[in-house]
Amino acid sequence: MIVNAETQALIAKFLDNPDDVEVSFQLAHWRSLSNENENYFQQLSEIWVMSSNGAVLDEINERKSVLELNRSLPNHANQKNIVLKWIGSIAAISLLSFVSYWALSTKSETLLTRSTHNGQTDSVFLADGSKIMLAENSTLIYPKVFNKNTRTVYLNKGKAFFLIFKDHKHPFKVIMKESSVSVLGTSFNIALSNNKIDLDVKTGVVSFLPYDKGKTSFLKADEAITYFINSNRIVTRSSLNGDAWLTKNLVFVEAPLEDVCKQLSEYYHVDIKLSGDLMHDKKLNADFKSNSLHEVLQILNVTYGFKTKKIKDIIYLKIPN
Amino acid sequence: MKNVDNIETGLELQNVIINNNTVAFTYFYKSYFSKLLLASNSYLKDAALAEEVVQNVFLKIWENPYQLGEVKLVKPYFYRIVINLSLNSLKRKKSLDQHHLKIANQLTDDEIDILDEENEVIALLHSEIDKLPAQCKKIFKLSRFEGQKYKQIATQLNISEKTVENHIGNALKILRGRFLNDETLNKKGKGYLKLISIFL
Repeated sequence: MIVNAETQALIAKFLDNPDDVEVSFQLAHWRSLSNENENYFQQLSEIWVMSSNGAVLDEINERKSVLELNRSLPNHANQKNIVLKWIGSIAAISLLSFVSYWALSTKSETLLTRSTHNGQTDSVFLADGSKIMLAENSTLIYPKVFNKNTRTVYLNKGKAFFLIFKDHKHPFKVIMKESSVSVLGTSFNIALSNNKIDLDVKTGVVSFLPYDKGKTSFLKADEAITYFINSNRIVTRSSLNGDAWLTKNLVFVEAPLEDVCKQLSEYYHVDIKLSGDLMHDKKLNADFKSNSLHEVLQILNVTYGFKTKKIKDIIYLKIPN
Repeated sequence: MKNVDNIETGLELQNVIINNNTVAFTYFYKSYFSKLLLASNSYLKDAALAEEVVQNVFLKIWENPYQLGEVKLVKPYFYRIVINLSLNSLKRKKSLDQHHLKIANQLTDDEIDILDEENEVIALLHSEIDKLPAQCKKIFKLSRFEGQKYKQIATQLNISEKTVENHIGNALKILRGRFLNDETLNKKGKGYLKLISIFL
């Protein structure tokens, strides 16, 4: 049946405010004209009432929940049965491609921006099920859905930890200024500043391209590099505490004291310097979990004999003899 | 869409799990997610908590599928567990009368079927609302999800009340049309038109 826009608006008006006498009269008249009219009104008011019951569904991301569940299911099958596992992983990939196909067919690509301020961290769930944790003062640009062969996101500034969902058909790429990082599915941390890029790999294999047509470096789990942008220099270093901002854990294994100072300075946003006998060859082994700077300094004092002295804004760690 | 409608008995679901068919189980979860979320939320009034309850129930069953063998029908089984756990989690916060739990346990299979169909319509309606034209959707959600009066919406969006009425009227018309005419909404041979008229 055809109902004109005016009557629809009248019904809508009545539903919002049933106490409006004039509207009630007008509508009662229209409803009384035919059974069809009455039915039409009843159906619209039913939809009106039922639609508000779905409000809670708006607060929940169903697709995210489904992917989460899918990834949390522990393996049940006979571990020796490789064929079954193989079929399982094919099926998982096809589920993922189904989901991305679904995302593709219903939405067009739009770029979204997520920024964090001082002292604020945030996480972004990407359309493919990957998760990116943003440290403070960071900006990430990412598409609402991925519809190209490569899943590309842009880290414009700051620091982020990437947990990338494995998808062999669609490599994942992070672009920072001229440089880029490509992976298939893995986790790694990137810290971008004006003159350098720090890349720490947690799991899997990551390739790093410093600039277009530059030489690609491959990094495995627990490997790390620092790329100095201005001098085009790549320095390999041990991967330590790249993701400490996220895990709140600082781990030092046979770490030179200079490195320890540098990392404590970075993590606690203070200036920490060594003093005393600088010709030492001491190494530090320690594991700090969610400790305050004060606690860390205390532990260093009690276990290693470091004395600390604060002059202006700089904390000096005196190397014990 | 992979068809998981044929998973009806506990034994059928158990087979899915012990064969490690994560895909079928995930689709099974997807097919129940919104409906069980609505059921849980009607007690908890907290979307995130409700999601946790629903997700945990599925994980627990995946981890221990052996009790499923004796379950005749999975649908009422899932509803009862979800409702019970929601009430339990509520009980921890407030002192809740024992009779609420009894009520949940006394739900018959038929009553759960009705609840399930109702939740299914709500979930479908919700996904149709998402497909409305942008401005129309925005206004409709402000009214229906946030309970705002047209007057407030008009002020907030700097448009006339008349415009709000037109958008809402149009949204209702589109949604009605989807329910009556769209064949995809009538999959599984269910007539949602009929369902709406049952509720009249």
